[in-house]
Amino acid sequence: MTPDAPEKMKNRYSRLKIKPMMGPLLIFIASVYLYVLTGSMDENPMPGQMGPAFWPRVILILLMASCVIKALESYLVFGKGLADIGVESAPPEVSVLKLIGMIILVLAVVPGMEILGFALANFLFLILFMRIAGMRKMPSLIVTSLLGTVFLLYLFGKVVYLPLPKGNWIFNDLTIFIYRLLYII
Amino acid sequence: MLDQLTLLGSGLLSTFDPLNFSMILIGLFIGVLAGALPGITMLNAIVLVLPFTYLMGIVPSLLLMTSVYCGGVFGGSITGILFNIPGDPMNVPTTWEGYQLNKKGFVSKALGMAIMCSAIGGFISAVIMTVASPLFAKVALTFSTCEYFAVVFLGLASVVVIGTRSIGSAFISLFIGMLLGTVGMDEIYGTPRFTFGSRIMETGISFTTVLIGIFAIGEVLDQLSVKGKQAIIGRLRPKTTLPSLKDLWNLRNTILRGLGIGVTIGAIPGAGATVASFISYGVEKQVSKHPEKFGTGVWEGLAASETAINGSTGGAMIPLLTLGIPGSGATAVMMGAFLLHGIQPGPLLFAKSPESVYTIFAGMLVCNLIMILAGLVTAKFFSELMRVPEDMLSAFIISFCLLGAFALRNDITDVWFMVIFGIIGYFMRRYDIPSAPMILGLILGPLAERYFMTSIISSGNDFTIFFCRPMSGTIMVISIGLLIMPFIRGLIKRGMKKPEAA
Repeated sequence: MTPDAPEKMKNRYSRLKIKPMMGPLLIFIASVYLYVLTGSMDENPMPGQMGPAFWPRVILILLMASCVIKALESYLVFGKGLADIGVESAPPEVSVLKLIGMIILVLAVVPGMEILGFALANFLFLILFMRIAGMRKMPSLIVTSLLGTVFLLYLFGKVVYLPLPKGNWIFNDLTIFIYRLLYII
Repeated sequence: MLDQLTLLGSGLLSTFDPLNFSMILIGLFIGVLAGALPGITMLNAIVLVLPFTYLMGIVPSLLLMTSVYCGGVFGGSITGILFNIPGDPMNVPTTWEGYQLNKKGFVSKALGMAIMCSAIGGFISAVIMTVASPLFAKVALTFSTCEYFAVVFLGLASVVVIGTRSIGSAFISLFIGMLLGTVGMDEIYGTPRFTFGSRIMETGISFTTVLIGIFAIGEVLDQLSVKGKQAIIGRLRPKTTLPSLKDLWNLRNTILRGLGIGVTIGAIPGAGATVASFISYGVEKQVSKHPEKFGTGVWEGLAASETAINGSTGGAMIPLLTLGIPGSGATAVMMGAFLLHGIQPGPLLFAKSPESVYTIFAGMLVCNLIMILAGLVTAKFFSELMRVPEDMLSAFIISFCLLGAFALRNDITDVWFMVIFGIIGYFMRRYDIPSAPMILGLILGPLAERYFMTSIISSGNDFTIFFCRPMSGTIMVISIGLLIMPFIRGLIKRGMKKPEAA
């Protein structure tokens, strides 16, 4: 063991102790910011009335207090075994790449619906999502996505009469063409 | 009383209308399916059927949702008994005993017992709901805004206290939900709050988008992001054997206790089927002559948990229908369905549309009876369905969610909100922050503000008004007691540990 090992251990311990408190701290800071914002709601308060900022302020103060409670909880349970704090087992390991891929895809499908239209965006989304999630066979991916999209188009376009996004520019014409092909319109 | 029976009779007739009856069958099928498939909860299923109710009338919509609810709370026990995989957290105690009974060779009887106890619990709780709700509604008509505030406050307090490991996390989740509820135009003063200059934000954040995002998208991300997850493939093709009357008679006390716990816990806002299931199992273990045998395949454990789960369904509907206060995620979505059809749940609902209310009552009664048949037929089928790849199922769930959120106002902004809250929901799960308090905070927060502000304004800024009226004062004291209970419990625990350590 090197001479500075205890110091390193101490630093690491302190960092670990602070980590669980980061979340409550961030929420606390955001609450303070929002509390400041509530000042603009009460520009002309009626005399004798609490005004529109009263309720959000009460909630924000309670939220800040909750952050303090949570931080204290994290501090007090730190270093205890998982069983001591009522956790039977550690959370399962996460595949970070898969998770990021899925999140990006879920976020991308929303502008995709606006630009490409629901039909095309959903078809592409289903293929890519199932691929990222772990399905490997491309032909079955395409067939499932195609049949699934047609089913959803019929269900929501023809049965529920939901005006699904048709997309912009050329994609609008393409969606209308698909709808005509499927006798949806 | 005669009026009530007449209304219930016409409700029963209305239930057998082809459209309504098919909604019950479809709802039960979807509910049991969702409950049985790990990764899809009963709540997900209710959220997913919501967009389909837009074009229906209120009665078929609510029958569809209540049958998904009833079927969903039962479905999870099938996979629990067959494969040791509870479909929902509420089915965990059932799984503890049911899977052990399966290993002992009683799989058919365990499935049958689960079905019967669920049906008995659900049916009797529906009867209790039918009898108690109108009485509750009559009392609720005498409520002023003070009593309403007190009840909402009780709901908020119990959400935090019951069923959460970390009080701090539950409080944070609750207040974030309440804060989200303040976004938009203030009801009393007409001032925009936290809109950041956006007109879309002025209408506020719809709790349905948050609900869909957190419970469906968050769940899917959570399930699929786990490393090395194996697909569940079952080869079991079980039969279902219903228990004899003698078997049920031998378990009568267990069933009655489970029912009492289920209905009572279900009626408390925020508690729900999971809490009912665990408490009922725990109580049964306490009163048993052989508590050491629990966990090794004991019929009492299975019956207690299953009766309480379905017993909670009728109980949970009481505060929703009589006070307009949803007590759980599932009833919150149902409240969404009411509001989508322009109907405000609450005591006036019984006066304005008694036909709808009694059709729901009748629907729940019928639903629980059909569930016996559905359970008998479907156990084999569901063991086959476990072979559907989760990846495929999850992708389609997200597609449904996108459509569901879009259908709310035909506005892509709602889809954005839904997706963002889905991602937030994933991180809440990951970091063990409960999402139920946030949802209920979002729903109950605006109600609490409305009743609080109205009471305070009408009383001339007298904050003691809530404690001066007997009913609201009692409820407020109970709520405060609930809030400080965990701290007292913690102090007692610490006090007990110190002498041990010494």
